[in-house]
Amino acid sequence: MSMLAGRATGRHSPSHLDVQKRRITLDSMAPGLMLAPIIVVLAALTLYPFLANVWYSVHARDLTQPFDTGFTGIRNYEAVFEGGSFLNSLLVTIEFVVISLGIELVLGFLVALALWKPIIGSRIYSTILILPFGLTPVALALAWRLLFNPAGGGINLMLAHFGLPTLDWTASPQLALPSLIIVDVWQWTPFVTLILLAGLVALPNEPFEAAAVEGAGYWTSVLHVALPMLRPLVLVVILFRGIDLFRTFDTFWVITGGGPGNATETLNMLLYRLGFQNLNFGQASALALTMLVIIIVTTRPLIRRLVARRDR
Amino acid sequence: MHSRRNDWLRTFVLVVFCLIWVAPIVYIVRVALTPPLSGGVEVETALGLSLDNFRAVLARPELLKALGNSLVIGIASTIIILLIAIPAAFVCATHEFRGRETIEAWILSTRMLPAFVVVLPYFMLFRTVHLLDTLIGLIVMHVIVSLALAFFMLRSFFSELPREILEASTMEGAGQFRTLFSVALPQMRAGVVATGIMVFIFSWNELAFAFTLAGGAVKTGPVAILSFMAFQSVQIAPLMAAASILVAPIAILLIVAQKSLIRGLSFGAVKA
Repeated sequence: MSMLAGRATGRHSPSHLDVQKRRITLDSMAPGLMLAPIIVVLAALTLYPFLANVWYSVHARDLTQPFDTGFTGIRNYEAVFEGGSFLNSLLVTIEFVVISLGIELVLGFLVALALWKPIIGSRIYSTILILPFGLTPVALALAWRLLFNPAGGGINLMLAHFGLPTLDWTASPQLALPSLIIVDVWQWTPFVTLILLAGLVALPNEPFEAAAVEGAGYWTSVLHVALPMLRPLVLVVILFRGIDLFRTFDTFWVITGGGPGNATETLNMLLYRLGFQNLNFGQASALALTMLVIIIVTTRPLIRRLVARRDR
Repeated sequence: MHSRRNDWLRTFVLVVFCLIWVAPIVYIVRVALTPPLSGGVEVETALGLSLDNFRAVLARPELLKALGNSLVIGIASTIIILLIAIPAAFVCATHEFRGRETIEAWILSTRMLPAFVVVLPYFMLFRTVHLLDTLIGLIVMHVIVSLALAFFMLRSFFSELPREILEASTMEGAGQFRTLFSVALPQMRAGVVATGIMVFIFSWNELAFAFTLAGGAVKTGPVAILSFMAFQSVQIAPLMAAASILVAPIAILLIVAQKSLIRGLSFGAVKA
């Protein structure tokens, strides 16, 4: 992250306050003392859950059968992967993450381009842009649930008003996931816009002037000059949005609850169902660890590319 | 490349998108303001404005109590997060030491965990130590929600401080703690406030922890609205009134601190 901050502004350089004096005093232990609380909290918030999940995942932990708590080896994992639930959830998750991320990147970049050079009302636009992803997601998801209602919801009323066919939206297995993708694109495209806009505004002028001298048009300079310079920021967006899409809970829970059937049951929703509806914590922990492996494997190349410093 | 026709096109694109982005928010407020007895699903067709739904919702104690819980949890977890993150961010921003990147990566990793991966073990733990459905339990859990956000936001504020004043402070013999509390922190009051506001917003908005580790006796705002929906499935006007009340304080905070939102969500990578 440190290098991200550096790249975004180009003026971060670590200082060396601690080389000034080295005495065996309270002061020389100060950095350690200042870091101690966060390390304790991190251990409690990451190491403990990890170890506990490992423990539960190889034991019977079905809360409906409190006396059956023996070691079960890999049986919880087998139970998770058996049947079609896991595969279905994996495919639903991939579809949701990839399609939403793609649309948000393209749309977010186009809107950022529209805001790039000074324009009347840009402050108002920026203020409106923060509302979809800043306001309480549950409240917004409720509004979307009502808007998507097949019987008299706002969207179908509007479609009917213009003489268009109405759709079943969240009530239909085919349209439920696209509906949730629409909600996520609505909610998070402004975030992508604002991040890329900040990057665009910070770009130096010279490369564009050089391109203009060579006769490059608007879109050529956008695609061949601006976009390559924005690469680090695009990676940041892909990483953070990708992870958040993978973890999305609020909108799914409020709008479809994973249904109809299991049409919108992402891995996260399946995890919720195993743990808090089936009350089978053993299987839920097995799935939780599987999800951790998926996250680590998929984000590793991105993080490595972000952390790799140019000067090393 | 910079023509007037271009400006019109850009304005058109921006107006269209901004209309789409405010439409659902306007919808919430508009439905909340419809007079009662028009509260079927086809409420959009009803005309007139009234505050009756707000009065009806506020007359019931549940929502106010839940908002009170959210306020307490938000303020308490914000204070805890700031106390933990400020010294850590200071050290990482001003010192170069072995393991710094490991610690930062570790902090960043808390941002990647799906909530339920953490919830499952803590549900079992809280069940044995009787912290399920308590304010304290949720305050503790909400620390994880934005610890990483707070750390990286503060870190980016600290790294913007002119290094000379920190070095001058050390030269004059001030210890690390004094440098932090009497030199660095007073310089970045605005940054600390902005970070606090962001942390509070994320606690206020949080659903997964509040919903699984509490939700009976102790409901937060979002959880209360969801249970409200279960009771009032037909009456959407009062439901939207409750949603408006839940969202209103956040809307104000967001508009006050809008620049920090992007800095926070991008973990200091973007200083918009």
